Amino acid sequence: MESLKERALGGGGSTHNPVVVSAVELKGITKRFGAFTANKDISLKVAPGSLHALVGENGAGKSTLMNVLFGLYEPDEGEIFIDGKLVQFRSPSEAISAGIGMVHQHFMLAEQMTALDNVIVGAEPTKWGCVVVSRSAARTKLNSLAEEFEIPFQDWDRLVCELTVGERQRLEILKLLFREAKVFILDEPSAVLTPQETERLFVNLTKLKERGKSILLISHKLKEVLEHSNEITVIRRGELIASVPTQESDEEKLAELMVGRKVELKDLGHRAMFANTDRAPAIRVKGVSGASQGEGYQDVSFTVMPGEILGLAGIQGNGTSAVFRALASPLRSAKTGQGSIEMLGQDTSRADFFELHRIGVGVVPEDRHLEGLMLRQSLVENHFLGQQNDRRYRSGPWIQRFALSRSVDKGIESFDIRPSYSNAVLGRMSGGNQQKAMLARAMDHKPKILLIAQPTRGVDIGAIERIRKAILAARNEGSAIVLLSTELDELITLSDRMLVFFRGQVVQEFPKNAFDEWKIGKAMGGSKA
Amino acid sequence: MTILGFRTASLGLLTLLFSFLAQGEGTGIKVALITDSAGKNDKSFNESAYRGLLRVEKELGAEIKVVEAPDNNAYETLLRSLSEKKYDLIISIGFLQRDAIRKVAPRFPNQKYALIDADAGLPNVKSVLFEEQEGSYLVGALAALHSKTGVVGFIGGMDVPLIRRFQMGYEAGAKQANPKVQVLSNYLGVTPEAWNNPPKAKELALDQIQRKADVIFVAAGNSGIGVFDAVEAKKVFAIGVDSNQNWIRPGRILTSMVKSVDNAVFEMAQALKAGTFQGGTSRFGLKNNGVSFAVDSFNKSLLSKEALKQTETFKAEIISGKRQVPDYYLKNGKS
Amino acid sequence: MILFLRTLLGVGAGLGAGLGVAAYVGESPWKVFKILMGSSFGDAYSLGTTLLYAVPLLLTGMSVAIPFRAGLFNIGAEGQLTIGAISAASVAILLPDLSPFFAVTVAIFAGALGGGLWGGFVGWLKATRGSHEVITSIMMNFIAAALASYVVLYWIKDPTSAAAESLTIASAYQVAPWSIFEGASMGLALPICLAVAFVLHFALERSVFGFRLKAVGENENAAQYHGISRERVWIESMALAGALAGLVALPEVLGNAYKFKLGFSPGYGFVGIAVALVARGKIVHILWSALLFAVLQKGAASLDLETEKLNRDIVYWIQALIILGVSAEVLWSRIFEWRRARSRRKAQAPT
Repeated sequence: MESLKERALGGGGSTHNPVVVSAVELKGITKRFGAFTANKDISLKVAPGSLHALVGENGAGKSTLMNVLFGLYEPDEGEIFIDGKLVQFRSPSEAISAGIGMVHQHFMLAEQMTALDNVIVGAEPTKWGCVVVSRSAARTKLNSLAEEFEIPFQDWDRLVCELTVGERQRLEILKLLFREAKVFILDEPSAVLTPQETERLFVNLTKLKERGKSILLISHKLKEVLEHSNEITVIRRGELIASVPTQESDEEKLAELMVGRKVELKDLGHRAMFANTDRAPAIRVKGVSGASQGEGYQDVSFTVMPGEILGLAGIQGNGTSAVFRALASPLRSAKTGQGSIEMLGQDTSRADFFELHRIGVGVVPEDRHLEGLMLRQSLVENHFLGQQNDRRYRSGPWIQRFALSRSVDKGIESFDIRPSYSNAVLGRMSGGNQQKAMLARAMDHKPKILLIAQPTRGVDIGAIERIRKAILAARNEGSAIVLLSTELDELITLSDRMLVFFRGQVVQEFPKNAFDEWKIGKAMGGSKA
Repeated sequence: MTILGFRTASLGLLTLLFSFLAQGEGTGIKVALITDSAGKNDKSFNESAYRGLLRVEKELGAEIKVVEAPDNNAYETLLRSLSEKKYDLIISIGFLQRDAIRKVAPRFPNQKYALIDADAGLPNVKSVLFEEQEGSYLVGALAALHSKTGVVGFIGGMDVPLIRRFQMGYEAGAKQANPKVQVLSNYLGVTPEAWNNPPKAKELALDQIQRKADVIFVAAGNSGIGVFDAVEAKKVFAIGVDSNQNWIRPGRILTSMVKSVDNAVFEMAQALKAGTFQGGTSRFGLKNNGVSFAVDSFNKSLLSKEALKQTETFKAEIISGKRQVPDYYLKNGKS
Repeated sequence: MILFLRTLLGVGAGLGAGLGVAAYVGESPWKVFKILMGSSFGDAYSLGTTLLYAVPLLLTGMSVAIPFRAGLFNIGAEGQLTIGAISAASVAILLPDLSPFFAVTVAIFAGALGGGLWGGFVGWLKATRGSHEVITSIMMNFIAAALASYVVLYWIKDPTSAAAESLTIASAYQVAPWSIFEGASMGLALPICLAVAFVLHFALERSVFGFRLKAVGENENAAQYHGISRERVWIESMALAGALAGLVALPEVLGNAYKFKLGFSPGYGFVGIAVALVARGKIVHILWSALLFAVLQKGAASLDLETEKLNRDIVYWIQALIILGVSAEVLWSRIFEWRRARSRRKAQAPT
């Protein structure tokens, strides 16, 4: 590892041509927030026409570094060179005029404006001496850019809210091209895409590369990074750990560099499925239709056996979240028609949360901030949420604080929640620890059914490992588990079976031995494989 | 020895007597006044009492103290504190202080109190009542006689029996002067806020003017100013209340129904100084100039001779007992 | 604890600034302070009358603080206490023949019930119609005043009085003041209201009910997800708030005036908002915060009486400055949070 680092610092980053001036060079960047150092003496070079990946855990300092480059922060120490010239950005607009563009994870597009207007806003081409916006000029320029970089896009007059996620992303890239960016910063661009769309994105990025643009890619997904980048920089706790040419690295090595110890993400001791068909299913969903929060689903049926993890796959908005809510929070999701939901032999299509809790169902809601936790309250208070009717923690109208905090302590220990005291306030914890706290709560009453949504969204690799192991352990003890995740990787790793949703319907079911990322992705896109 | 002794003793007695008298002469009397929460500058009822007290200070050489009660629970405490400070007379303004005085006065039987506008029924309290209906009757007549439209207005502050008493007298007087007159009546509200809400008073006045009223009698404490603004804007007339308010908008205030609280205060202080102050109930009506309507340089030109003559006739008839003025209190069981 | 110290700092700053104003107009701040203390705690009678202000403020302070836990802003305590008082007075006048023990219990119950229904209605409107509680509770204040005025002027009027006040309540309902207060009208209301505060403190901190309130106030969505009905919490907390405000009938109607007087409250319901704010919604802190505002209200008249240059208005200055001091303290931490949030936002901002 030491040798890797030396090499990274000494040898420059370029894998193409060492003589060429770097498109971007950061020298000794340090950025502090109060006592906290987010970036410490980071130096890296991006060769023109290359894709440079930046990997690291949440909070490692990748985004801070990119924000420094994009002019959002001024570094406390260090220098930035663009094409060999020393620059100083006091605002993003200065960075933009120096040819730096950024595609954020959450697109910065106005949904109620047309695609064209979104692109030109702030950089409107004008005619008649700055009086009239010349949309036709913009259109001509954009069409030629789209052609040049082989990024197909025609729907200039459609509203952004009507575009798919992939289209929006292409629009963002075109917007940067329109502004004549030379360096593209992309923050987790594939997090919201299907495998097919991701594939397409990298095709586009390759085209950009070929035409001399440089790309800085922040990503969690080691696989795509290894596949598409020219060079990889690993950041851990604000420090640059290594910059390595991609062909000299592999997934295991990278994960180790990121976390600082050996990590196991795939082989988590996944025992062979022992759910057998002679036992009664724990969950039986029959012909259910409904909608919740604007997301509909029709005629959904499935069963989950004890000791089985059923994965729900689908692009956001295609029904998985609504189906999950119909299971986990039946009273708050409108159902129509004749369908029925049965858990452990009881009809739960009209059950409230306490009823679910009583019969042995544990729930990890999809959005931990919105639905899961009280962020200004402690672990104890949050542990009690949803368990108000649990006999262990309640006598008459009073809360049994002692029993409750003992159980919290147990959860802290078995899930390694940090900070490790029961009065710790959730809002001050990292996403991973918040997620662990929710899992500890859901598993507190030894449920026979676990409904888990997005268990590792925005969570560090170390915590991911722990959470996945806990889910598998529950399965191995015989719990029936429904797992909703937008990380296809996670579903493939954990599930025993997978249902793929498209436009509110189950389009295909995959048994474990038929898991294939490409095929599943295709089904998510609506076509049967 | 005995003669000497007698002389010494009588000398001593005389000295004592003289010093006693001298003390009474030198320091004068001490009079305290407790206003209600509207405060001493309400341009109306409390202010009238305050004016009387200032006269007491100036003309009788008394030491005075004015306290404004911050809320209705403060009267009792204030009365008690003042009683402990040995004032010769403590004057409470307003019927809201009745319960407090009934509670405190018996604890200090040697302390003299006066209560304006309510009857305490205690031997050491002088209760001063005004016959507001009589004065209101006369200004009602004046209003009706000066109205060109045949519509006159009444705007009351908080809807309480006292103000109803104004209204009833006013309506009766107006109808007497012109049986065809139409009287519009409105109240500002049902909370004490009503005494301090000029904007709302102005709105009500504008509304009444819209409905053709051209003389408006306002009995609403601080809120009255809003009515004055309205009549000035619309070039009609208002009638003031309690104090002589003619000067506030010269030429727009037809007259004021004056409740001579200042005179009552002054007379009590005078009686106190003369040693003739006694508890019990006094009624101030037209008869003893307790209520009247104000005629001064500000409104002389506004009033017609005939109307004044007619009103003076009513006044004489009321004083002689020939004419009965309806009293809201009597109608509602108060004896 | 740190929070408490910071609040105390805010109160101290406000008080200091207020006394500074006194010094500016030429009265010794020390003298002003002594008058305030003396008029409030100087003797048993003064203490009793101070408590006469403090007990209603304790009740209205809690009436504001409890819905606040659930994320509701009760501006309707004034109306709720008006309805509570008129209910208790009506019962005490219309049912004169109850035995003393029952009489007082029934009247207290009537007061709490009247206020509770009045407050609960606001919660119900929010739960079923989505009406914002601030708007409705303000409007309900006006309706309460009008209703009370109607009842007192047409149903239970004292015909011998020039004021808008009811008949005297039957003697069985009259709660005698304690003699230790030397004539101040304070007695049974004190232990009862303290007991209520005590019970509520534990209910909020330790009971499932308190938890549900907190859950809805902290994260409405998560609470609902986990089986808590926010509508029920809204109605319950507003009804409880109304009942607490309605309890003001005990110290005021049953214990002090022995009748309903229109406008008897010097804005207890509104000062209660300040009381709750200074106490940051914690019941233990409402105890002293209510006393603080009682001292100021009580001191208003005494300052007028005892000094040459000051009148009651100085106290409103001090009250305002204390509220400012405390909320400015909140403001500081807000500013800090805001700056932190801004730098966080900035980190994600577009161009």
